[in-house]
Amino acid sequence: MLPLIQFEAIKTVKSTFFKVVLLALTAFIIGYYVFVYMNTTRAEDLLAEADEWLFMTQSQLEELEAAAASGQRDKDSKEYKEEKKMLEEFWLPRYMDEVEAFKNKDYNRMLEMEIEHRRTTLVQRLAQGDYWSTLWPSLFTDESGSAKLEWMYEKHIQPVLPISVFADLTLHDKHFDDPQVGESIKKFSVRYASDGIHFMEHLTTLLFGVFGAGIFIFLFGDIVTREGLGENGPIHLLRTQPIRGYQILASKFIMVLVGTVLLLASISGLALLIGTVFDRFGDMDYPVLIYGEDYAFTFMEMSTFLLKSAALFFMVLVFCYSLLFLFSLLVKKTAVAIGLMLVTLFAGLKWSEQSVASTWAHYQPFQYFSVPKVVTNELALTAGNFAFSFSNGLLVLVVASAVVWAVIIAVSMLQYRFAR
Amino acid sequence: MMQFAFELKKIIFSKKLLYIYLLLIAGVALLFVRNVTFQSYIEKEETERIGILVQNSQNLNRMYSSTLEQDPEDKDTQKLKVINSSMLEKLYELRGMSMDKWKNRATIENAFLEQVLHFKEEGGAYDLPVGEINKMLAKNEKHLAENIKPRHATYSMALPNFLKLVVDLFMNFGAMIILVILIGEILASEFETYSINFLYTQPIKKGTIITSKFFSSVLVYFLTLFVLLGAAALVGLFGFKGKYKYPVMIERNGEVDFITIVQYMVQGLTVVSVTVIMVIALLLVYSLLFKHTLSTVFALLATMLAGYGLFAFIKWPSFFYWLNPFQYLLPEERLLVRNAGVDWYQGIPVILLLTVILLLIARKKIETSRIS
Repeated sequence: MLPLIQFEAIKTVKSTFFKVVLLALTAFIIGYYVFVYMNTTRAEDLLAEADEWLFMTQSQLEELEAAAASGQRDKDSKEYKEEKKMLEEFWLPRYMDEVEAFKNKDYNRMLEMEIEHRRTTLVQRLAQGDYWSTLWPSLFTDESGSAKLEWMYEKHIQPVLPISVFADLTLHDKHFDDPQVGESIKKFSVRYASDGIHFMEHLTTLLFGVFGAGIFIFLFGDIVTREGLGENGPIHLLRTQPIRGYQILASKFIMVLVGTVLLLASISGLALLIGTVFDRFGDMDYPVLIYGEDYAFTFMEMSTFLLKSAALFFMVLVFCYSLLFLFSLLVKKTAVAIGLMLVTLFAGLKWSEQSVASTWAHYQPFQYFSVPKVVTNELALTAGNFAFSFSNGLLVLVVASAVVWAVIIAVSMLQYRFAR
Repeated sequence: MMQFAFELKKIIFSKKLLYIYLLLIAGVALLFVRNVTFQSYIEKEETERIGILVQNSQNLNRMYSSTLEQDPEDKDTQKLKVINSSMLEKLYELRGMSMDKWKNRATIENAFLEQVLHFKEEGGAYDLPVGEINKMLAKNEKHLAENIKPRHATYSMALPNFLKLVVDLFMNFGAMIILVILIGEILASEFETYSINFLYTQPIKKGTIITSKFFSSVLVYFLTLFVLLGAAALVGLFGFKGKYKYPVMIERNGEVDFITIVQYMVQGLTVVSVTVIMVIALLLVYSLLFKHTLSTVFALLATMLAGYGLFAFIKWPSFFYWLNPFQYLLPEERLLVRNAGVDWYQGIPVILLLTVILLLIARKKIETSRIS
């Protein structure tokens, strides 16, 4: 069987279409990195902003003192003293600290200051316990945001900037006081980081879904139909060889699986390499928010998140390839097989979307196509069903693929019998 | 003409077309069966929606009570508590009312929404954005004024609404996927099987091959549309009669406006059909360029995705609607949001122009190609 797999691999790798798509994918990854790099907020960008705030505070203080000197303000009044004290003892040291931290790229100091800044409000809100409110920033957002900062502070992790509360948005924030504020929060909360690990995460979010599955389906789209099944294609030549019928399909499927693993590894390697060369490697233990039941949450290390996402996406692809093989056997035409694959994906995803609240939704394989949302429990929280989990996803996709393969075996046996 | 008839027969009398049409009819029937099955879910969904609002108001009441316990003289909290209690009463009323009494429900819901607006004006925080409240108010008022019962957006059994559901699915991806299945390999397969060489030896102009394949594809598309709508209409007869004046809410220059469900479907099918015709011409050009089905289909879908992405994710000035040929690939939002003086039809001329250009390119390309 090994020579057959090698033969299939050579055929695939040598096809112009495969090479062109891989080249386009590489160009896309590089282009996306340029976009991520340009949109990454750096300490230098925030330094200018903090510098401006410092200047404004100093000017405000000078104006206040000038007003007192000219007699416009009573310097013995309570308001004057409070205002001056606030500027001198709170805002001025805060902005000076910020400027210093951004200048020295002292990320741990930045985290420390932000944790301190948020603590008072968080303690008050935790005492009230208003978890039910979905108005931004919800208590969940405040609590998880602070916990994330503390995790990074303790482990000396470089945060993705900016770290202010205005960049925190979770699924529990459904409404905003003002639509314009909502728009800017949504914009701020999309944070980019150009280091290797985070670029891998960005790619995972972008590719590990229907879009990525579509690219992989096209890459191996004609692996069965190009043999000219039902026509005068090379399948007849293969059947004259000393190999069993099932070995043809099996070798193709194994080659596709091995090829997929290699491609996923290459894409990850490329992302890591580009990120490391142009920025830095990144932190493997960067925290990823995992939603829990009843406003609970945990954090997962980025490396675990990436591995889990890759494993689940691989199973999504196995399921898609199984369907593609089935359609290819049934209709024997590339365009029709691809079309049916698209119809199935579209119908499956629509069906999943509409039945997400049902009690049996977690048994549907199409629910697990939004891989990162499954791993972070976003899907579970949105659907209000924590049976949507990584392990259930793997199980459901394995079973669904096995069922499709049972149909493939039945169809190929029937076709073989009738062909004779 | 002979070539056109030949191409048309090749598609129409193929087993593939028959199976696709059977699948389409079965799909429409299944969709209707699903809607029948989900009728009880409509009520459950509405109960849950009201339940969330009730919970929200109850939580607010508890919060205000505890604030007033600490400071009974807090006038603002007192005022907010009174409004919230009144809102809660309306919600209880809604919760206990049958879904059949839609006029009463709409009236009470509007009274509740007016109170929420007042509550927000007084400084209260409620989990309903003002924009959404205004849309709900306008929708209820329209239904009351026209005396048309509101139907569920997804699981309706009324014929006009069911037709809209089928048209929506067809407009969003459906048309393009059916196109790929039916005519994705109409020209590329001629190169793959070398039957194009046979066509080249026939006493016809090479350009005729393109023209005949193009017009036969267009005809097959309209036939498919006819079969789909026919199947939906026939299946939909088993549901309620419904009203063809059913209002569909759109946003026109930042304001809420309405069109009828028939206008929506006609406009939607027009823009999708025009786009499909352009895509057929593009498919022919790509088939001539790549001479390989998989590459052709991939390039076609990639072009559409890139075109849609380029125009959807970048904010262009409004005159760009006259120049963008990809605006109707997923036309639902384009039909529902018509801001900055833009209406639904702006993209049609540029798409037709591009179709003619693509056809000319395809004809030129095939005329200069040789037997391989």
